[in-house]
Amino acid sequence: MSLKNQIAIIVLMLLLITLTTVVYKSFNSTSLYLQSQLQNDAKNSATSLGLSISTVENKEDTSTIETMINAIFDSGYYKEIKLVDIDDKIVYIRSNPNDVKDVPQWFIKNFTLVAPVAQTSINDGWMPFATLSVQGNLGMAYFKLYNEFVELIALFAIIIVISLTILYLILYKVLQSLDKMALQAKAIDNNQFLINDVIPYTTEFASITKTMNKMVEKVKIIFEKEAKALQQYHTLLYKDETTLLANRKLLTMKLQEYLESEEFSTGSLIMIHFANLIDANNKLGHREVDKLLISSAKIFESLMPDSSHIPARLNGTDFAILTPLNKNPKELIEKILIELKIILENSSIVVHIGSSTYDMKDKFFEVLTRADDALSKAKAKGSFTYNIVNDNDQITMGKVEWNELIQKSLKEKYFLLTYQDVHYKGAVYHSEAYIRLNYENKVHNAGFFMSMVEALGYTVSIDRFVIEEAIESNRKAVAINCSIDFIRDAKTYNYLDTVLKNSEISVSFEIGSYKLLTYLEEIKPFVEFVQKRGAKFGVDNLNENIQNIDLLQHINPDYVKIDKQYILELAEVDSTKKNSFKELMDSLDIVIVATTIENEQSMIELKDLEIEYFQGRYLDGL
Amino acid sequence: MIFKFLLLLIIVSQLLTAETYYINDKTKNRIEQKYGSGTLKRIGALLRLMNRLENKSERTKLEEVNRFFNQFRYISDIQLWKQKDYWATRTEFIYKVAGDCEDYSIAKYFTLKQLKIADKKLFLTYSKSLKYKTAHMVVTYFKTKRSIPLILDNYNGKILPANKRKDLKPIYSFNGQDLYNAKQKGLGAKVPYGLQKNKKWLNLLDDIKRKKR
Repeated sequence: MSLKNQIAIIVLMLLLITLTTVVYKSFNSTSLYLQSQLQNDAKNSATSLGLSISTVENKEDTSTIETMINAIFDSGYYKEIKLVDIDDKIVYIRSNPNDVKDVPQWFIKNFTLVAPVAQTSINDGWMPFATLSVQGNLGMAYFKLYNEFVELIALFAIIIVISLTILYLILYKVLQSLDKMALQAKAIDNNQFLINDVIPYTTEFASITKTMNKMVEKVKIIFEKEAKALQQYHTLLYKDETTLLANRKLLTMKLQEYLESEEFSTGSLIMIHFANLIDANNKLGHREVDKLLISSAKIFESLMPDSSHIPARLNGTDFAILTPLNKNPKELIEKILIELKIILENSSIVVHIGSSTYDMKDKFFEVLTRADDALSKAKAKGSFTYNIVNDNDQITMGKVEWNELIQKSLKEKYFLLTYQDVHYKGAVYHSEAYIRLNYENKVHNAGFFMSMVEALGYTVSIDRFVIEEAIESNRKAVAINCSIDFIRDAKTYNYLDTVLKNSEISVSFEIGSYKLLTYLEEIKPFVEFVQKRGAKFGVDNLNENIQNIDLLQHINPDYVKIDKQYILELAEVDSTKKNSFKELMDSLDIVIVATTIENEQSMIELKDLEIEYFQGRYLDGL
Repeated sequence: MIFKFLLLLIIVSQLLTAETYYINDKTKNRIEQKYGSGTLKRIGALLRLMNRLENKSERTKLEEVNRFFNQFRYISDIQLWKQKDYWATRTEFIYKVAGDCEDYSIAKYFTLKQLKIADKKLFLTYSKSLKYKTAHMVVTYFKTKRSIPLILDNYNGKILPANKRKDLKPIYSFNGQDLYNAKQKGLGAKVPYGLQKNKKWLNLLDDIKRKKR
């Protein structure tokens, strides 16, 4: 029972006891007073009537006496007037049946009033002649008493209603702060840093709130410090000092990663060469040239749709942009050239751009070579020119054909799922589902059709297909990658409500880390929704987005997946020789799954860093 | 003289404690403070009389009590209490050794009642003195409910049956206790409703107690 109701019950009981006592006392004294009044009236009537009767000369003839009694009885409100002689024989009696109007019978039954009888003896000369008894009528007394009773009960009810209302208002105000405290406690339990800005009025609550706030702030500071350290290590490893773009190392890692990935295994690599930098350095000075390069970096960043597109500085004069899923970067390149022309106008610097597409079948160095070739050709063309090399090895299908293929594949189930297990201490944590397309007797992975699926707006259908197939898969736990379109789809919540209710297996939903920053507000409620229904949520490919690690405390995922390379390299540069990343994730209760495990050696190294969840070809081929 | 008085006090107090009718020490002190030792002495005499009469016949009780109070002087309320109508308590009556017809009647009535004469036999009767043409009050005693009552008053020292008192005309009779209570209320004494029918109330007003045997 909540504190509010307990207090209300106690107060109500006290009120009832107090008011009952007051009502009983007041009722009692009224009834005593009424009876005493009745007694006095009866006595007065008896004496005056008795005195009149004793003056009657001939008492044998009772007619005069009867008339006197009638006169008094009819003009007053009596229950009974009775004249009894000394032999106890009734001489004359008048009585009024006890008929009390306007007062309910239950009241008369439960509150018995006694009408007092006044007696007086009447003498004939010196000798006693008869006894006169007068009994007042209770009608008026009952009527008065009943009215008072009704008024008291009404008053009683009003007092209770008013006091309970006031009580509830006060309790509501006081306990509101308690509710907030409970919320904060829950947030602490969820590893969220919630500060209560309103300090409650009640002193005990105030001190608890202040203490909790202090505690949360302390933890928050520690968390932020760790996150900052991690970001510093990240910068040191993967960033170009001057432009803060990715460095060669990161670009290389990303290109390799994309080539092996499901989603991003097609796209373009754009190389950008800044010529005449030495000349510009001499003319403008080192600092001014750096400023121009930084501005150029800003332009690259501003043109990236999300963090899966990676602009990088490879060396002093060369930049590159990795644009997954974009096989025709002409538009982007032209935009870059226009903007660069403007900022480089007053310097001697000129720019050449070469671009090459890449595909999953490509080797890493092949892509680099092709892009370099393209750049050389651009250089030959002149300043602010570009050259795009396309591999024409691609199955060439128009949008119409693709549309037909996807629709047919969904209908005929040409799409199929394959799984890769995540291992944890010898058991399977979950199996991640990957979608494949069986097309012309060849199984293609997602890179083959995903860009068309997105372009043609089939992402939600594909996601639903994967979810339904995975749930039917007879596996204990499955992980499903879902798209932002799926999360943002209005029907998704209703759909998941039914699906998750009927699902007998554990389901995890994953989303790529590069979408976190842009779609944070849409992802947050989605995570809450699925977690409330017993499903898990994970962030996939955390990788270089580790620098946005503070986002994780808002999303509260159950796990993150990160390429083992990042964990190992970060641990290496960690000056404190402890694994900051692991500590941070522990503080948020987030499991780390190390991906792309290709040999035992990396697993041993990761185990030293207390990483326990692994996924990769070494453990489970696709 | 002082020695004699002390001796008397000792005797009185011994008598008081040994006998049926007594006044307690607290009341004694109060009476002595308020009315002086003379009053206390006279109360002692009444107590001795009552104790003597305890087991005597009703007729003897009537005669002796009537005789005892008839020794007192008649003085009107206006002279004695500077009030038109004042009903003195028995103790006040004994203190003044004087009073009017109501004081005589009340003192006699309550003393006789304490001597165990039944309620239904004793009445306070308003009557008219034909001789003095004044309102009068007497105590009437009915041996049986049909017998002619005996009249105890201060005009005639003798107890006579009503038919022998041609000087008096009866007006109205009351049960003494009801009348006394009603009158005390009229005089401003607090008479709680719940106690009106309770005999303890009378004991509160009276200084003389009766031991339970």
